[in-house]
Amino acid sequence: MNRNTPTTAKSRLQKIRERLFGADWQSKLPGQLQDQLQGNEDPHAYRDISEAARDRSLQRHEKKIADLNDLQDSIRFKLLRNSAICIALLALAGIAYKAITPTGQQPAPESLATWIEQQKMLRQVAQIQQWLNTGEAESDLPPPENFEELQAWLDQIKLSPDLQKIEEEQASGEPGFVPFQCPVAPIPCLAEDIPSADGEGRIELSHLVRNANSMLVETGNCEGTVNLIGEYENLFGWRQTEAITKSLLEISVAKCFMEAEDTDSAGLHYTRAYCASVSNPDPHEAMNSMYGLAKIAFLANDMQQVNNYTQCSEDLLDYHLREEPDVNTLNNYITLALMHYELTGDTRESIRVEEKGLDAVRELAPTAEDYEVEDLLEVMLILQMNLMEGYLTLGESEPLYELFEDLKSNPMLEDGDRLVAQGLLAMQDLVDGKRDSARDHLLRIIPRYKTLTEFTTVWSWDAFDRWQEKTRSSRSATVDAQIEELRIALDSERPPDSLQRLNKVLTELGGS
Amino acid sequence: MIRDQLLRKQIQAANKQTDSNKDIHETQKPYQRWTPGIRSLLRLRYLAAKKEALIENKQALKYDVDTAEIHNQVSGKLTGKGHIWPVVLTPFFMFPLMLLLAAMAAYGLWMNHNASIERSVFRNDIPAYSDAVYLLKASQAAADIQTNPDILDQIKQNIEEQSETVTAMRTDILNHFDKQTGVADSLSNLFESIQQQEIPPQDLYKLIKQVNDELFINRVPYYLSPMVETADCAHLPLSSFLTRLFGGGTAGSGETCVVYALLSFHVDEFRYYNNDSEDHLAFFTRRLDGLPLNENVLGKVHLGDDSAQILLSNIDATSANSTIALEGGQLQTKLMPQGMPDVYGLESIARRLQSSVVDQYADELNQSWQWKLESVWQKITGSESSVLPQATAKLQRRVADATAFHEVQHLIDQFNDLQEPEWFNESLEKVAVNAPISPQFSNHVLWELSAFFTHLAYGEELKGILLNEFAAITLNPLLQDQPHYYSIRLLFPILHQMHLGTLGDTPPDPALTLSDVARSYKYLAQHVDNLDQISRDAYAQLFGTPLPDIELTDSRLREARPKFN
Repeated sequence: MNRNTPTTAKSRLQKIRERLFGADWQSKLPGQLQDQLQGNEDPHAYRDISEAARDRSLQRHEKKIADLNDLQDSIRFKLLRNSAICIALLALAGIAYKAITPTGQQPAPESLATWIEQQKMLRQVAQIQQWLNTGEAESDLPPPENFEELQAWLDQIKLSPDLQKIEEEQASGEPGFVPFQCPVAPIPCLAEDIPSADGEGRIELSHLVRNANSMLVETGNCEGTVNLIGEYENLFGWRQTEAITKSLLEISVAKCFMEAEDTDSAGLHYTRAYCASVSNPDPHEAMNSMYGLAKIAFLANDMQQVNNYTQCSEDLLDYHLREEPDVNTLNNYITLALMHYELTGDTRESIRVEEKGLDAVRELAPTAEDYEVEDLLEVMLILQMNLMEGYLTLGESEPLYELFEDLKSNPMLEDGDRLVAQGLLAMQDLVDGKRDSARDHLLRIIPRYKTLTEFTTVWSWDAFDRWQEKTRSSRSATVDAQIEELRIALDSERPPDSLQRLNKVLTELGGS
Repeated sequence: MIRDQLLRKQIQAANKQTDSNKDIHETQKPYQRWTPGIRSLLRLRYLAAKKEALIENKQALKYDVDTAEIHNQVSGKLTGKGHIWPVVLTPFFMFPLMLLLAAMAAYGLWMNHNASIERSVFRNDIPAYSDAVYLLKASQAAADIQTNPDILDQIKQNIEEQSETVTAMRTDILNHFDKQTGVADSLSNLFESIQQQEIPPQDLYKLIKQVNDELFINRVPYYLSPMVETADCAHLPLSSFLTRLFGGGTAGSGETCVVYALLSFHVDEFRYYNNDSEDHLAFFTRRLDGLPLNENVLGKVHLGDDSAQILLSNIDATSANSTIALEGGQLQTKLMPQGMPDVYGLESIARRLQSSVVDQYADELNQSWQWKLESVWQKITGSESSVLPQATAKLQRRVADATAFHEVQHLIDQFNDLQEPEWFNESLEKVAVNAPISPQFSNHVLWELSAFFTHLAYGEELKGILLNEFAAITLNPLLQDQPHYYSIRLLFPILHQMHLGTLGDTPPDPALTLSDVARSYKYLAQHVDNLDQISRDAYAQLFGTPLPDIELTDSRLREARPKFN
């Protein structure tokens, strides 16, 4: 332990002086200092020396600390530098590792997957096309012509809920659907006219139909279309599953010949259409073919043959109704009624077959599957309104009123059709001279008409117009004019002055 | 603290060795005993302590303290007592240790690198190879029907280049397995066959099986499965598609070409199921290739294969769809195919069956303490929470579990003679009017029927969901070429009649129409809880033997050592 006493300090100072300046250091000092050291020194001089020494020691001390600081900085710098080098090396190694290691994010090759998806889509489209051809699917859009349209087309296809059932019946073969044969007017079918080859329906045929139809519509080139069908037939051969397509195409060609007034060719193609469709449980194409043949007989003034075809058509529908009591068959009773109306000119027969159809609908509706009910009600609506028109033309007001009550309970009845039906009642009342009743109907019609945002109706006034024209002389000019006003006002095109016309009739009847 | 202890030790050691007035601890020399890095840290610590001492000395006006005294002062400032084992920080110990660690890291990275390459081989290279083979075949087909000599020359040049590409890709893939010769050989055989124009699909499945077996034996956790497409060779080029779709068709060449897409999977897990003291292997696989191709199946067993494949990716997708919809407030269980109205009102029943299971899972999860803890945490952090993702995950796992039983039943039936009921062919002919009923097809329908019974019998809480899945298959008219479609036409009425007690000696009436399917579906949906027992009873009555007892005996992740041989 240092003991820092004055004596010791003095002797230490002596030693330091001897070490620094030599043993004779006193003689080297200036006279004044020698005096001081020899006893007669100046006290201030000693203090100065002491302070100077202390300053030097202090400076050395400070320098030492500064050196330590420098050394610390230097070591810290090296430490940081080396650490940075190590981190950089690790990072480089990491980057290199990353670069040589596959990431697994390469985009998948597309060619093969695209091709396989294409094959699936072709199969799917062909399948849907087959269903469309056989009526097991419905499409609101025409067949797509490019890829952009394809998806939208696929999305809106509606499959029949009974798809499977229909397929089973078609494919099971026995007993299957035995074609109808009409004894009074047998239609000869050549074997080659009945598609019989096995295999699935082909999408190419939809293009055939499209091409053929466009040729018919755009150019009226019936012969060219026949040749086209022939070429396709030779190329592919019609299959059983494509019978409906063939039948539809033949009907289009036949209509083309009818336009060209070539009834022989038209008859040939209607016959082919009939033959292609005979095995189809839906009588639609067979019915249309028969209608065409009856029309040809009508043009040739062969009324016996017209009656035969009309009778055959009814037998055909009755046969299908027994075998296939469904809405598709019932729909055709409307066509049959039109056939009577237009070709045989027998309104009563027309009404009879529609009443028959209506009875069949009423019979079928309670046991129908849920999905069928809506379609049945639609058919019922058309039959009911047709019959109302028929009763009006025959002047049978009682069944007309009864049917109106019946019609009102049909949930498919839209406001527009309801107004038309009420208009028919008003017309009947006008004919019958029941002005008050007619006014009451008008008072119901007018407020409803005002509130209608849209006047939509399934109604066509064609038959009514013909009746009106034919029977004009049997009515007073006033009543006829009033009927005419109502008919124009309730036209599906909704003339802008409809309300004025209705109000005019109402005013004439004494209403306000 | 450790640093101070090391430094004190060093100062003590240095003081014994020298009493030189020069402070050796400021130099590098005494620190050489430590490993780099530690050296600098210790030296910095010493310098800091010494500086502190010097500053204290200055305040005490002691400017000339000798080195030993400074060392004493520094030692007094060092904290920490007790003994440490400084040898671990010496270069002698540290360098080998660092080398060992570096070697381990390098090994780990190398293994990871190899695993990544291996993954890339299955993820990218093999699907790319099958794609390249297809392109080559398409070019060859285009050359066969090309009459323009200029275009033909161009196509031939392309064929040459594509051929080289295919060879190079093939070599690259095989090189990767040069140490696993079994894998390389089986892959080589497979590639050889794929490149041939004609190979029956059944032969290809055998080759694929050999590859999968070798992968399993060599503990390579991947799995291959082919998608086969047969077409007229002239229709191979991609460009023929639009013509065929919109242009009225293109003439075929009359030759048939077979094209294979190689789909790759990662084996997440494999399980052994025991039946009658025999083990059956099932691979739980997850789709790896990014090919936009969907097989639409949850599991499969190829004819002649002795292992089953469960397709987890497909299961995840189907399960997630329903639960995502549930989260949005509406469960959209889709039973009817697109474009067909739900005229029989089946989808509301399907939704009820589906949501009851997901709700049950959600309730169980809500009751679990893990979820309660998580909810508390989520409330604290203010984040939204839903139990539905976990419920979805559970549904996915459970559907995979149930699917495995279906596939294992196929394995059992394939190698055991399943007694065909007498009525079977007659019933099948009634229902499968649109499908070619070959003996193979008939067998397949029978196997599916058997597997559907097992599926339901082991369905546990999923029986309602399985009923939905089965119905969706047979309601889809696009699946009429599939045996499943007809098996369900038989299955539904059988279960229906079994529960009614009318499944006696007379053959069961198959569901010929959709309304038949709907009627049985509605009835069975009311008796979902009994479906497992009904399935067992019906199976026993129809096949004359009890439904097989299947037990999960072993479940391992892919790291486990396979016992397959």
